[in-house]
Amino acid sequence: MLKSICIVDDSSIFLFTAEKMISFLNLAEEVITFKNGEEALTYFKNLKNNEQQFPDLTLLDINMPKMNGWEFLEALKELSIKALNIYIVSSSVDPTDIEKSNMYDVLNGYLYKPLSPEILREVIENCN
Amino acid sequence: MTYLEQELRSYSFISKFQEVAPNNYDGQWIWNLTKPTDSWMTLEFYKKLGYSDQEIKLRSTLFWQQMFAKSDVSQMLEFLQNLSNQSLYENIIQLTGKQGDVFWIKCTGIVIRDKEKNPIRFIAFLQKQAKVHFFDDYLSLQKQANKLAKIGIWEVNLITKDIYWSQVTKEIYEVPKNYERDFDKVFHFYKNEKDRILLQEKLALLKEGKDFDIRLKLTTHKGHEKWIRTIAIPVIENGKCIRAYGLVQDIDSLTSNYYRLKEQETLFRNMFEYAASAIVQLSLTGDILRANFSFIDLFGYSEEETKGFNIGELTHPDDIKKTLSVVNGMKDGAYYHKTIEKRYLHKSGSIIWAIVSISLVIDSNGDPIYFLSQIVDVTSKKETELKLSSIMRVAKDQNQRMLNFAQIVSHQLRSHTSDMEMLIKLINLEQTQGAKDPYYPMLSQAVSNLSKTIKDLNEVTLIYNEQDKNSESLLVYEYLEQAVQRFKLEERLEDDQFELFDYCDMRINFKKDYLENVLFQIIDNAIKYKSPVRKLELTISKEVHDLYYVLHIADNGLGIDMVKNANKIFKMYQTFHPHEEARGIGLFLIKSQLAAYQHKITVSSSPNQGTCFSIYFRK
Repeated sequence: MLKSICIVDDSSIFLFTAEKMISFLNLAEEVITFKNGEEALTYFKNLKNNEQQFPDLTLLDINMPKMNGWEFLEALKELSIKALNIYIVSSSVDPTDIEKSNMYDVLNGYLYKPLSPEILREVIENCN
Repeated sequence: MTYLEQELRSYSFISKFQEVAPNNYDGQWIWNLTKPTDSWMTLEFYKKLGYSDQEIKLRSTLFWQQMFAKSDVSQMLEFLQNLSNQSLYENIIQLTGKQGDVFWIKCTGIVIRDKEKNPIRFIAFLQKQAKVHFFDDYLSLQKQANKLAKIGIWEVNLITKDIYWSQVTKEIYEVPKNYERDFDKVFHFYKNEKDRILLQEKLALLKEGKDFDIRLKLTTHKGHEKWIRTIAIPVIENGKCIRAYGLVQDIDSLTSNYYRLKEQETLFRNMFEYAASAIVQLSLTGDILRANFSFIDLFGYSEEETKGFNIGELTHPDDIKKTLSVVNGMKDGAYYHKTIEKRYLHKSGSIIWAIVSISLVIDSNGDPIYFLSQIVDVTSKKETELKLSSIMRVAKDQNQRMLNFAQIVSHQLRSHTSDMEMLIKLINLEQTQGAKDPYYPMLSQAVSNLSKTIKDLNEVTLIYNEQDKNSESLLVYEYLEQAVQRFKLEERLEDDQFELFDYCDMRINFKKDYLENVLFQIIDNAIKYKSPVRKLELTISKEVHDLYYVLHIADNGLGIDMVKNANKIFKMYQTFHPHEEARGIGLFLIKSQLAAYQHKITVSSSPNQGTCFSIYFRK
């Protein structure tokens, strides 16, 4: 079980179901959710000097208002915030998105929506 | 030289002589060979060369010599003086007209001799050879023909029966040089009774002072048969015909030469005058010298108006620079021929789009003399092209917007359906109250169906999105092997169920994944829809067309009713047989994948006999 998982997605249904699924499967003690990249960035900025409190896993959507997934990753890089285990979670099957994701070393992988309990378990196992 | 003019009029054979070459003559000319400065030429001929009546009236005796090219005069004189065995002169000479322009003149003449057989007069017919000038090929042909047309002369003293035959005459009769001529033996050369009678009659009339011009079939000394034409002119002295002279022509070769020339000349003239494309002859500065009917038609000006133009005035202002650079390149000798696309202006002001072939014609010294431009009107083609490209732009734009729309829709739909799917998964996981609702399984199925549809849509939009990407060069053979191998591994196909023909060298440009998918889908379909009563048999063959390699994959399965379904077969969500896995997307996808790379697919099928897919890979 992970200590904390961070989910960044503009779909409240996704946030709700993902959080529910994680807690039902007992995969993490705490789930922190944000509605866009900007909110998540503020959270990471506040923890900047406190890296041990960074979430163990971040699930990041691409298309979001205010600040999208890519912009969020750029901002982290610029601020030298070394978040752990970031996965893109998107419903996009556009090859250009997948190609783009390969360009970020900080990313651990690309997950397609919908997430299933099996995939969640596998991802969390890889984080440990 | 009025004495020469009077003398010329006194020759009775002039009208007869004119028939030797059957064209109309522009002028007659008499030249005193014993006093070469004396000569007389028909007034009309001077006019044709551009001289005014006044200038003709005041002309000096040497005036004609100024018009002749110097080399021609001396060469002609020399030739005529030394003429011992031939009295007929036929050549093409150069004359300079009033404006300094050069005329090519065909000169056909006969040498008149005195009693001692010395040449005293040269009488000639002159013909302006605009066409000869125009087409250099014709000129050389004409020169060749002059050499080939054998014309000999003969003379007979009717009192002494002495006969003189010129060298050419002997050649025509194919007699040895020392052949003893006997007036009475002449008839032996004509084996045909009718010819002999004709000749006898004509000779009798000749004695009465009547000339003749007849065609006879000659059997030469060597036994060859040929047609000749012989012209006889009596010489009357003291009211009595004492001798006669004449010409003999080998018309076997002449006729064929003449007709060949006439054909050539007509061909060239027709080519110019009646060519479907406009042809114009231009001076080196672009003045229109001569234009054909198509040219006049194309530009809308009358023939008279056309001749007053410089081609620059008819050229679209924006294309003048382009034209000049080509023309100057030619004058500099960089090239003699060039084809360009340019615009002209019609009399009405409208634009004429044209493909123009410009040639620089040079004379024998290599100096440029004029331009010949062939203008092909491509206005309607160009307009269609412009219209088409604008339609294409609109279509492309619309297509792009459609694609964007499809992408957005499928993306947005995907994110919503994924939410729905996750909710369903969560309900299943938690086994909430909702999971027990009797409507729940149907809702779950509906969500799953929606998700599949969106996935299909996505695949299609991706294909069209990838069109611009590079294709790969693929050997069809390798992929076929691979596909067959795969079905064999899955135990869905056995070795004796397919037959492959010679397709080894089919190399195509396509995308690897797509080729795999196309071959997989077609073979998969054949297996899925095999006949329950027959063992599946696949026949794979190829054909090579001009533009395509064609791969035929035929099965003996259930088949499709083409009468009912021909229009539907490659459309989305069409299935023709109940089958658990039938989604109706496979054929639609492969058609899209092929079309994205300009390939095609067709199908022929009969129910219960089988189906044959033919894939046309563009070469």
